[in-house]
Amino acid sequence: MSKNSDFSNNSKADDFLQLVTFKIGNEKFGIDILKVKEIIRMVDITKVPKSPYFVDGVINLRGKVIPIINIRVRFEMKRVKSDSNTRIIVFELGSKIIGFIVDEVNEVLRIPNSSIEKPPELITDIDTKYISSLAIWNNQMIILLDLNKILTISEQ
Amino acid sequence: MPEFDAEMLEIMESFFVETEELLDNLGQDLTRLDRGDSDPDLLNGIFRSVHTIKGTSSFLGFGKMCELAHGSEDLFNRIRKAELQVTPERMDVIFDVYDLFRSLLKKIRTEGNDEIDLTDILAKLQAVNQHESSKITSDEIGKQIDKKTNDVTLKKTSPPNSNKPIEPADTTVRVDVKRLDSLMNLVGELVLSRNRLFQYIHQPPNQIDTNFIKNLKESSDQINLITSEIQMAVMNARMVAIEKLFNKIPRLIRDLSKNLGKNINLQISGEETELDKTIIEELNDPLIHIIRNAVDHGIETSKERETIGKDPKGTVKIKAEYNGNQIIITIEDDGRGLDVEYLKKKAVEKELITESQAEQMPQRDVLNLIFQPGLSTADTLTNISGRGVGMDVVKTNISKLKGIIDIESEAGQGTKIILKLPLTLAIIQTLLAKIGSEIFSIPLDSVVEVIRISSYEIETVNGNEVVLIRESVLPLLRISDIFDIEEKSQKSSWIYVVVIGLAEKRIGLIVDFLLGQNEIVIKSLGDYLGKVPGIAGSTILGDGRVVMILDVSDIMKLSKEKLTQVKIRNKSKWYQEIPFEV
Repeated sequence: MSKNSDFSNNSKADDFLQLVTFKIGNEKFGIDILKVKEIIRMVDITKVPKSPYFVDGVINLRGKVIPIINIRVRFEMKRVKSDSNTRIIVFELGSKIIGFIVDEVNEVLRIPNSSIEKPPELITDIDTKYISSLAIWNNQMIILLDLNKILTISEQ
Repeated sequence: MPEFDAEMLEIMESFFVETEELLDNLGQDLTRLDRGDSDPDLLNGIFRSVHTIKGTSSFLGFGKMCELAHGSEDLFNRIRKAELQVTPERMDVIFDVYDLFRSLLKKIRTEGNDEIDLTDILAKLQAVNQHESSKITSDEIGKQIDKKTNDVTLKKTSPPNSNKPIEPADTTVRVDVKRLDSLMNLVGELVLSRNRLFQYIHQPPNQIDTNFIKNLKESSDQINLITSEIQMAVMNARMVAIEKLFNKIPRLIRDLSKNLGKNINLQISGEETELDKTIIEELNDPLIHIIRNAVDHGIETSKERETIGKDPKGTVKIKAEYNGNQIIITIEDDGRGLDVEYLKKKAVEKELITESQAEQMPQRDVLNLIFQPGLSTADTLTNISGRGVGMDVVKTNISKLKGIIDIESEAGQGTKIILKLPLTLAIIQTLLAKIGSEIFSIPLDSVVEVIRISSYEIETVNGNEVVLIRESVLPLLRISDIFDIEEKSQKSSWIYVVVIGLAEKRIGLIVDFLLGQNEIVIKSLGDYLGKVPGIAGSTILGDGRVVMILDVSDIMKLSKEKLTQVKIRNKSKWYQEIPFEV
């Protein structure tokens, strides 16, 4: 665990962003912790016919049926088999509760806003339209995703 | 609704609910009065209703409503004191008054005021509120009224009132206190069971022995039983007797008979049968339409009937009854029935089917043609029905309720329309079927039957699979045709087919296994996925698995794209052309 908190009295909560970081493939990502409802282990996913290509299906979360997105597929990466590290991050976007599959979940980081910048073009394999910003922290590049764009099912 | 403050709104809401109820009762009472019922209690009841309306409308400042109530109150008072007789002429005016009350209430609801011109109705009231000896005066007034042909108020009340749009739906339900008490009791029992189970789990004995397991099992069984009963009790609380709907029918028949010059004997039974409130609301329009058809096109005029040896009075029978988990509503008339040949001719004319198709079509399919938009056997459009857009709307409404509609008819004898509706929409019985690697849930209300056929019986024509069942062609559908499911290769020669039906259409769904029946709660797929074609929702099985529920109506639509006209060989080995309408 890296030392990542700065408890000086000058800093206000607004200057920091708390992120849950996770990995998909070789890239490290972060999502605002306030949006995360829970993180669960991988479970069986029931397929939903005629759903968008990146929706793997739905799961039963304590009696509620929620859809599960496969971000790898969304980013046009290869599908992989789930292993003991695979997790599902359940988040809330507006009134919708949705989960997405990640290869592994890492630590929660508290990153100052000053470390967050707009992404340069063509930095990764991932279509930059899905990236909202980048954070550089401890020599790591953490990609912050634009969940709205990822979820939007565009007319084909 | 105009801006009322919160307290006022509450008062207004009560006013609406109460007055609606008063008017409902008044409507029923007036129909009885019209039929000749002279029970003093009835007359008193009518007077009281009008008197109450006068009071409440005056209290809230609705001047016109009060005026109308005041004007008619006197008439009712005289009738109940036997100073005046109930005559058809008076009843006409009374019904006009009743309709105007409804209009006023509606105006108050939608516009906040009751400004409707009452001069004509008040004049009419005055005219009938006199003894027969002063008939001259009423004739004179009548002439004056006739002169005002452009009067909007008159026009509003003269067409058959069955054409009036339905009042804004009432979002409350009256629940018998007994039902709530029973629910309270059940909840009490549930609490006790829960406590028992809770205690077992949180304070288990030192040794988990068979006794403990037995106690747990008993607790679970108890909770199971009580939950089912609570489910029934809550469903019951939402139920409303179909009487609410049936009560409008005598008035409807009266108006229709009058306007169309038919003589009708109405028989209603089963009005105590109860339905979920939402279903009753949706049934209103289809029912009215079917009855209009029966009176307008079905029943012949008295003269015609006499000529062919029938009772000059036509009979319309409306019945509601339970059948298992469904409610069956039948509307039967002894009129001219549907002319199959005429239907065929019209369908060919409108290019819905070809001549050769028409020749070979079995009677049941011909009768079902009336559900096609655009097909109306009325040569002239009447004000009431015959626009040719009615029956297909009825079918759509019934399908929305996940119901089935059937027609039986004998030319010259009459027509019978049978509606089959499920009792509830949120918790349903389903059939679990395994198709390939997936399990699907099929709503049992849409399942007509389950059959087992051998793979040899399947005929493939034009790329479509069909099977001949009891002389009727059943199109077959494989789920892999519409969803991307991998199918198991068919090793066995036996094939299970679930015949699903919607309105009058039937299709056979090929499944691998039947896993049994269960009762499930429909869960939507959520806002994100929204409505997926072919899927009505999902549910969670006892083991935690999520299963998709098939949307029968979507499946029918999706399969239509796959199926086209079919030629098959029937038993006597000559070719038939049967139109493939799914």
